[in-house]
Amino acid sequence: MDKIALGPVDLALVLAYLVGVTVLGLWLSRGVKSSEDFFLAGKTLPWWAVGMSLVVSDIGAKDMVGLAADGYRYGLVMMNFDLVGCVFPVLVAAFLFMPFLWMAGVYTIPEYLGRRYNPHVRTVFAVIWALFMIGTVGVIFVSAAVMFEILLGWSLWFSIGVTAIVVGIYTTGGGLKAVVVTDALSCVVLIVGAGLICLLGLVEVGGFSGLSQSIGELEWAKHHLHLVLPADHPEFPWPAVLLGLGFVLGPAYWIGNQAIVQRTLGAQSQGQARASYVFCAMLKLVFPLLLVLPGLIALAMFHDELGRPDTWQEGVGNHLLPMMVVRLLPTGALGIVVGAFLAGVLSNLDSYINSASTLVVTDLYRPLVRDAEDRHYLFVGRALVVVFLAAGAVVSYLVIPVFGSVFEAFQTFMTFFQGPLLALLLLGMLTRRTTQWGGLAGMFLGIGTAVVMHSATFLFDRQVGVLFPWFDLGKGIPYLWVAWWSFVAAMVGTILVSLVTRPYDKERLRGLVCWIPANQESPE
Amino acid sequence: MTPTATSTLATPIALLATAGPLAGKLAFVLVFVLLLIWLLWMPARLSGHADGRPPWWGNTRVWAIVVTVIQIMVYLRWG
Repeated sequence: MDKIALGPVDLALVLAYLVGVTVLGLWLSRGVKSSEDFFLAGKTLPWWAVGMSLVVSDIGAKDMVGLAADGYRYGLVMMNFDLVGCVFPVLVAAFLFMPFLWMAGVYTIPEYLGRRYNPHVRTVFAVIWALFMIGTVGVIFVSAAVMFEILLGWSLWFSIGVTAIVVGIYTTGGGLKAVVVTDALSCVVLIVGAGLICLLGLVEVGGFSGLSQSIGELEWAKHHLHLVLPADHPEFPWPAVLLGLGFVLGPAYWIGNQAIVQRTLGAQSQGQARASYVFCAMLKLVFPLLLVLPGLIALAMFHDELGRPDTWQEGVGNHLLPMMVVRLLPTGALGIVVGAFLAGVLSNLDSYINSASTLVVTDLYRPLVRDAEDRHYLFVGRALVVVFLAAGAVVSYLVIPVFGSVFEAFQTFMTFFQGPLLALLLLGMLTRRTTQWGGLAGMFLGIGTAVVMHSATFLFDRQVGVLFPWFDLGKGIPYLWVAWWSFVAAMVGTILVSLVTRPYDKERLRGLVCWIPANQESPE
Repeated sequence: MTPTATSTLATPIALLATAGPLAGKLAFVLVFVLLLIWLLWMPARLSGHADGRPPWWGNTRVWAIVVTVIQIMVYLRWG
């Protein structure tokens, strides 16, 4: 197994990054006087920092190592997760949804849903998100620990300890502003680190032409240099990628994910919120290449040694990136790349911790404990950061023995409610006619559809071609299709029930529907 | 998905699934072309420039159009 041996220069670079991030976060904590300062950075964030933070919040430890392995396994198709799954929805959201959410003056997405529909919808989504976020923190801890064990030989608890302490210090102190500014720094480190791997790798394989030639000689990798795969591809059929990823999971993530949206809500103005999303889309043109290209370079360099991925034993893919780092990078550059890995982990972790704290205080705690002083909510928010880090560590301890299946379970859990969430957001924002009862019905119908589709193989065996005749149920239904159909079911349910129930009057919906603006004007 | 299953089904999804990679490439390009048209024709109120047009380098609509055009070129070349 290839392990990275850090020299003194590398270690100094890694330490400088960790100390720099911590000190920067602590310095920013001086300005936190109220709960709005803590949860929304006092609405003072500049567009460039929010844009960079959006990009790195989306990249976790498993993404960096996993995307390189998936690049080897599937090729360029993995870039769709950032191109059609991010750039497309982000550009639409930049002009249609984000400035509007900023104007609505909400702290969280469930808060918006509660105001638009009713408190039940708010509570259901807040509980789902809170559970998901705690689980995600645990998964981030373990996936980061797996990566650092492979890269540096760190033990599980040492890795969890380092990441939790650094993130805990600057997130507890500085809140969203510390998270976003340190993310911006992490973004630069990540670009430099990933860029180094790509650059040195391309030199090694003879540039893009050498890469294409090497991969072109492999029959089993004939689709690797295409973004669009055949419609009968078992993992990424193009209709499912376009509909499920481009029209449901991508928009749900970039419009409805609290960890993402919260940054934009902390922007200085509507115009800055819009600019941050456009800047994110620009950066996202580059990032998929930086993360997937190493897998293709590895394929060109090591296909004789590693062989076909369908013959790999579990965990082989995780060693792909460390293998490249060890064999390609000189001393000094190693420190930057390890710093890049750390940057990805910290930015991913701080996003979920900060957002979970905001969501629980805003949507679950405030409705129960009303009329407390603002400093009380600030204290609870800070305390919850520590609680969530501890809860994440406990979850990570529980999931280690079955980590692979738990990670998949969390991904599956996400698809249960992403489609319905998007349907409720779109219909709620775009139409006045959508009613609170329509929203409730759509939510349950959408989630129910996702559960039935996920369970189809187990519930009905393979005889139920009649229900989902176009899928081979023996392999399970691709999750991108589940996302699409649960979205459609939620849309249909919401529309049908809304047609036979009474909508709120126009004044009640002011500032909550795109076409009924709030009375106040916002700075541009 | 088996060819037999898809050929006997008249559902839209089944028909979609029989379409080849070229149709897929065109579908992806079409999505971004539609996005480009929307960005070009979008009311000034949505782009936040209702009170006057900013310089091109400070105009988010211009940058969004640039990103979309790059996307179209990427899918035309590597789709």
